[in-house]
Amino acid sequence: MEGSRAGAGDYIASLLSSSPRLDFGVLGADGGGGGEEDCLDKFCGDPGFAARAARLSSFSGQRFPGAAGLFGLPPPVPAASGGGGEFAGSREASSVSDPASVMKDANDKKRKAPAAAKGKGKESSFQAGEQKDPDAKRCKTEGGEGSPAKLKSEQAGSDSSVEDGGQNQKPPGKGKNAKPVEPPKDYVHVRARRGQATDSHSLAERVRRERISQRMKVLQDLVPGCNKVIGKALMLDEIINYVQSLQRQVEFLSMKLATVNPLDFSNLPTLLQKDMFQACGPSASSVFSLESSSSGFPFSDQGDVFQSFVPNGLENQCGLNPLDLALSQATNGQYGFQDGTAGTNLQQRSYWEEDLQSVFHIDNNGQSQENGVSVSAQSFHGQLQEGHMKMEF
Amino acid sequence: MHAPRKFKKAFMAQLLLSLREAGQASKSMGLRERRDAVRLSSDVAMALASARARPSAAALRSTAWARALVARHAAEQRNEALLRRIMGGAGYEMAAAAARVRKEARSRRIVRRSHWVCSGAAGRKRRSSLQLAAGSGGGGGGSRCSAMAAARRMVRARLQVLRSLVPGGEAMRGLSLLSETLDYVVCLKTQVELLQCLCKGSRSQLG
Repeated sequence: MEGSRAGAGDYIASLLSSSPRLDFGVLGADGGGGGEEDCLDKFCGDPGFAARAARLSSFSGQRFPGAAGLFGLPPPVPAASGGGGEFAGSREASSVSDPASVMKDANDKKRKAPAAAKGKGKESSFQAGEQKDPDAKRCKTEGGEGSPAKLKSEQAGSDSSVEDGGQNQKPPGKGKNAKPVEPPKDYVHVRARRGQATDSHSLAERVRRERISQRMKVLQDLVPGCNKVIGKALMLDEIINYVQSLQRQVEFLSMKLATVNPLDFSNLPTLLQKDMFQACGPSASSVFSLESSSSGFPFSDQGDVFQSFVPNGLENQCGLNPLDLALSQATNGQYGFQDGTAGTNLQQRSYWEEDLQSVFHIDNNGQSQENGVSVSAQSFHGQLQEGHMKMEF
Repeated sequence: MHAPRKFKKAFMAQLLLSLREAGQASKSMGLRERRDAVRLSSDVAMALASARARPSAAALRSTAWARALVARHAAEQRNEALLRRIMGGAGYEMAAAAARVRKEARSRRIVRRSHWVCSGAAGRKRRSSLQLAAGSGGGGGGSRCSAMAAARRMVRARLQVLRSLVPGGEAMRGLSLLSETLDYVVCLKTQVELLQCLCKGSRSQLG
């Protein structure tokens, strides 16, 4: 154990010192595109993930190296291949979105099965319009109404969404909220066209409203505790609380990490070794190669890393294991409201509350969402006092 | 349910890298600075991983919150060295440019808003449009107007709060704000998970 640990450390040290700057994450703009989608499909065992991926992703298969991608440098490729890439991406995206749409149909009560062809047709207007609209979502809204009318209204919708930003947004916004304060599940009203529906303006509003309600639905799934609440304002309340609590948690965790871990660079080999020893042996090499290839930094060179990633393609499944195990361990102790029963969960939350109260002087008990759990959390506070003392603050 | 595995992996690896960089930089820093360095590196890791591992975030851009987040960090002078090392020189230049753009946009927006508030015509227009919309909306029942107006006001207030929370959210309205929030929530969740994982790992390692 010691010998292997030392050996691993040397290996890493040598790799870290000598490796050139490689990019590990970007698996090639073009070549990795197909592989990426397949990997995504294969690796997510979670059925909800495909829905999420379809929701959260749009279509183009192009990806750009790290910081350049972050700041949106235009790709060096010309427009033609950009268009080709678009269609390739659209094909993949529709393949991703079809199971997603099927799943979403299972979930939602009213949506018709979207036409994949329609989805593909929409993509050009889509990408012109908004960045994030997934294929499935758009197909769903189209499935709800007549397709030719929808075609026109979609383009009108994308146009009006652009001009809404330019104009005074209030009248259409108010017109959209004109129907009685809609619950995000407005599954009754989509097909029934109320009075003004023939107006192109209100069609666009309807489209916008539906899109917004879909997003709210997704957010509802994402934010725990939102299921009980119906109504935009209350849901937004929950979302805000959740985002705030997540941000506080990040801050607290980073503080914790900073204290627990005085020497940051020793983090890597030890953490990886911990993961490694939990999982199978051969995964170690893949994890280490991941680490080595990522050690040089970002964003300039893709080719080498893609090469090093491809042989890991098979090992990826093992390679995911150590990370998965570590991650699943993390998620077991994750911050969650609903899990009042899990002792570790509450314990962690109580740690968090205690430390936050001591460090940041924030009173968490005032939060609406935590009221349910804080009562039981307080019973743990006494027990955890000594545990709290142990923390090296 | 949350983020795709690739994103998590990319994030984790990037996080480790940036933490390493931060560690090299901050041997002798105090607790607060270390914490800020950790936070910065994790935020940058999150932004970069999201830009990288989302094949979608295309249309030539990553998510707006990612850029705004990095720009926010880049705006502070003391982070410059660390950021430069994490993101590479070119990346840092872009971040600095984005920060400048954001500052200009924000000041422009403030100026515009002050004009809008000051001018009485705008106030009248706003009030009249409110009534108009309320009238058209409450066509079914006049008694619902006030309730709906109140609801609308509540929603608007909360959207404002959300805008202040989500980085880069000030510029966005309505739909795009919700999309950004969605993305941001997913990424925050993974960030929390990964940080917890790291904490546990380092704590168990150090005993």
